[in-house]
Amino acid sequence: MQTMGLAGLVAAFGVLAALLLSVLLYSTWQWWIKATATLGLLLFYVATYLSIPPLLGWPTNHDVPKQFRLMAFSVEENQGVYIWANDLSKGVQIGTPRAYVLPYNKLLHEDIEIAGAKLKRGINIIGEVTTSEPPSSPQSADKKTGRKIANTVTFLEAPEALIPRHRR
Amino acid sequence: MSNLGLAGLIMAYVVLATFLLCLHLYANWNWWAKAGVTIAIAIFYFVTYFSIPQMLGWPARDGLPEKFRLIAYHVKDNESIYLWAKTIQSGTVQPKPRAYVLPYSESLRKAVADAGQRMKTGLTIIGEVDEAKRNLRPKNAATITRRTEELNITFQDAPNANNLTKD
Repeated sequence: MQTMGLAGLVAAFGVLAALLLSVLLYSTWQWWIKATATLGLLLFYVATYLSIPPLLGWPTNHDVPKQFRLMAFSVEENQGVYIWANDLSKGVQIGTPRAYVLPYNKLLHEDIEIAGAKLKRGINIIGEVTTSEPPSSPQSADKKTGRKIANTVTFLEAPEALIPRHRR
Repeated sequence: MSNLGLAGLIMAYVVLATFLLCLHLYANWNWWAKAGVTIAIAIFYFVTYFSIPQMLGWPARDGLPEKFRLIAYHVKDNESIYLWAKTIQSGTVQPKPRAYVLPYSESLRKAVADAGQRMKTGLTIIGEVDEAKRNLRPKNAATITRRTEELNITFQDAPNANNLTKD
């Protein structure tokens, strides 16, 4: 959850502020050292405040949900399979979609293209991650284990009763 | 660019580590006070290391490029409009898509819905943001207000998909 990430950051920055406060209150340092520490921490806050937003929006390989509603995808051969999806553990209604990247493999590419064709026809697609950790080398996994393990995501048509067809 | 964000964070964290080092070298504090500060900063590093990834993948409020290829969109009625797009830089489509969230506006909703319909027929849609020509709105432009600025977004069919090279 984005809010959990935010809460963690707020808490972490609170710890730093508390640290600075204790330095200011309990140390016998000269005033200019204290001023420098305060200024340094302020700069740190500003730098992180400006650095985090450029990281947002880019696909992540963290926390890929076990079940998700596929909204869109983009495949870059040998780079990654990018998906834009909604975590179904939060309910079937689309909240804020999140972007993920999965390691590229040919079978996943084929399957997601088939799912994409259905998506274009208005059929809702559910993705299920069948293996929690994708193989580090898809090529070797293909040879060794075949389709089932190499392809870590299965795409299914969502039952109409569960998710009514999306009409924009 | 995501790299700039990462560089900024690394710099900021190095500054903090330097601060800790200075404290160890030049402060005449008790060892337990120094240990306490070190533990607090280690906790800070640990918490942010686990908190930042949880923020990744969610749409960005800023940074919509001047020109982009629209991959998908989602409208949350009367709240927000989400775009998933690839930046076009010097006629080259960047491979990695980025998600954006824009404030809801009726004109933007209509414009993206129209673009979405054209996309379904197989057309490639190019979005263009023109902040300079606020008063010279093209007929199919959507105007939204982002913070205090007015932003024009126009969605056009790519004249020839071959003109857009992949990075």
